[in-house]
Amino acid sequence: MQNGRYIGYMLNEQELIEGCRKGSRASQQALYDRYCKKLMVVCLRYSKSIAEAEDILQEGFVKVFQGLDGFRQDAKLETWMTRIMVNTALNHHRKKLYLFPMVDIEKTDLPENEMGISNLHFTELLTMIQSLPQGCQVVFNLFAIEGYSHKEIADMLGISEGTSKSQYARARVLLQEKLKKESSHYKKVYGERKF
Amino acid sequence: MEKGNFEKAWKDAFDGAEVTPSNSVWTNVELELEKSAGGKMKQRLLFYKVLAAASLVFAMGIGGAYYVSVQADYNQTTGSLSVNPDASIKSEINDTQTQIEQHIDNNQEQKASENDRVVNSGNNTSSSLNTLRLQDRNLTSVDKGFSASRNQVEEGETINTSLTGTMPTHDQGLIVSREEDFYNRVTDRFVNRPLPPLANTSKPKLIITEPYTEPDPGMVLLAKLKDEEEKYAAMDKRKSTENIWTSIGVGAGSFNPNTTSSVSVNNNLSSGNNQNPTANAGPSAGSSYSMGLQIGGRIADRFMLLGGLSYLTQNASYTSTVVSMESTNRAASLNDFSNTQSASYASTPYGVNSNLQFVSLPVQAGYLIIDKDFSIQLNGGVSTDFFIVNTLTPDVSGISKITQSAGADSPYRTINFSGLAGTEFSYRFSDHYRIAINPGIRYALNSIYKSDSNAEVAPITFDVALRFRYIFR
Repeated sequence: MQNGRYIGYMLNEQELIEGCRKGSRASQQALYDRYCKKLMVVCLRYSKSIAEAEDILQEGFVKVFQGLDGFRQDAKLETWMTRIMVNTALNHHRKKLYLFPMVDIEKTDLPENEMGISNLHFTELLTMIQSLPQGCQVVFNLFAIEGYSHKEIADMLGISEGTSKSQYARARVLLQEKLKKESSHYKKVYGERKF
Repeated sequence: MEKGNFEKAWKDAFDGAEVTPSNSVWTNVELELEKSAGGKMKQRLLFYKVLAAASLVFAMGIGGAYYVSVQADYNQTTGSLSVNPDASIKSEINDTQTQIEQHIDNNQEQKASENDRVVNSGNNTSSSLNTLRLQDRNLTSVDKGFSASRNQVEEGETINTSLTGTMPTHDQGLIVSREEDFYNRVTDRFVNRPLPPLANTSKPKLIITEPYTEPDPGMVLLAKLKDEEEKYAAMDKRKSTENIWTSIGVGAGSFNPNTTSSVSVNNNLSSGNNQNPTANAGPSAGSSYSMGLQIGGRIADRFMLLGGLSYLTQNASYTSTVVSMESTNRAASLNDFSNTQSASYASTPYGVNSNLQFVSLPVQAGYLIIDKDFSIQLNGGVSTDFFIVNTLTPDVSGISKITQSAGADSPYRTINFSGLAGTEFSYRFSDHYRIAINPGIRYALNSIYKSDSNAEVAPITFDVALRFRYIFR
């Protein structure tokens, strides 16, 4: 059998998909190698540890390979795979998710300040997200980074739209506090310079 | 809630972000895929585990059997080489014991005399006492050596001189008396001791008993599976390779001339003689024999094309009431329909045997109903039959037989056509050979007589042929 590490460089995405559909292990490995790093970041955003993220990644990739026949190619493969990873993460934490109380709110008033996010490395931001309470973490990821609306999030999680909003508001407040803290530390070290 | 700069900044921060997962993730994904693909991986692992266990049992069995065998040989060898302590060492020890006891007695006597001398002569006492002390120490050592060797003998230790390479302990016990004695004793022992049976053999042979091996069930199972696979592979190979063949065969059956009108001789007989309009009665059924060579080939999965060359001979009997008389020698002969010059006369009825001979070129198509080692095949086709000769042999004396060959003067058609239909039951008994029984029917599509002979004879032959087929590939 050809090693997926090599054929991954030789085949385009469509050929890889075809290979995976035929059950070629080399093609599957090549597809995994091509996307595992990006998708690992997605999994890390929804988990509390690397081990947990790897569990989600593993489960998600199995679903990807098993469901590749159903991929209609009307979306980008990466987008489709990201969606699978997110769903896997949500299923992975669904029980735990409801352990956290969620309070319905109708309106939130939050400052529109990016708080120097661009000055931070994504791993620092990851750490901040992972430190959020479970519910806040999931809703923040879905709303801010995945781009879902609160209505969609409410449907996905089986909660009210208000709960989604309140969880997001809480997440945002917590993150802003962390960013503020980081920002003051940043200013101490680097001054007012912009990179 | 609308998405603003805050959300955009977070989204942008993760664009192109990558973290390498550990290698175990892909391994687990692969395992999960294997599991979901019908547990094939699990089966394989189980198979390898069983195989490994079977191999281990097999190896242990072989090793155990070999060990037992080697141990038996070793015991046999050491038994022949070992020295029986009861026989030689014990006697030697007894001798030594006697010597020591004598030595002790002598010393005691010597001590007594020395004491007397000490009493008698005072200044020599110290040197003599020193000598005595030294001798006592030697005696103590001898005692220790003796008791050590006796203990070993009592415990039944077998002293193996050739395998251990060390001297027996009881000899070491004797060393203390005098070093040169030790070497003398050792030399004496190795020189005077009877050699073991192996050394006395003129041509010593190394006998290695074959270790008993229990057949490993796992290996037996694998061997059976391999045999099965080879068997099916051979069957597939046979089926796929039976494409061109040739066969020779002989056949026998019944022959029905199938005369549709009585043979009339009116046109052939001279006028003015006694004539019988029905000179020949309808021939009765006879026999048919054939032998030939056939070539066949597979043209499709189940369709064959067969051709070949056969020789046919067909016999039938009938009754004649006409004879022909040749004008030259007046010898009576069977009525020759073709010979218009001969004169025919009525006679008393007599039997005539007609023997027709043909060379046939059959072309048939075959369809395989069963395509296995045992096969059933349906054949159908036509044959072109070249008439050779007809021999009419009367069963009475005084009338000579006649032969009618093919040609323009012959009443028989030179070329005839027959329809063929048959079934072939065959069995392939090796890679290249197949035997077949072929019952069939041959029906003449035209009369074997020419149209101007006023006779319609379209023979039907039922025969069974036995064929041996050689398969080229």
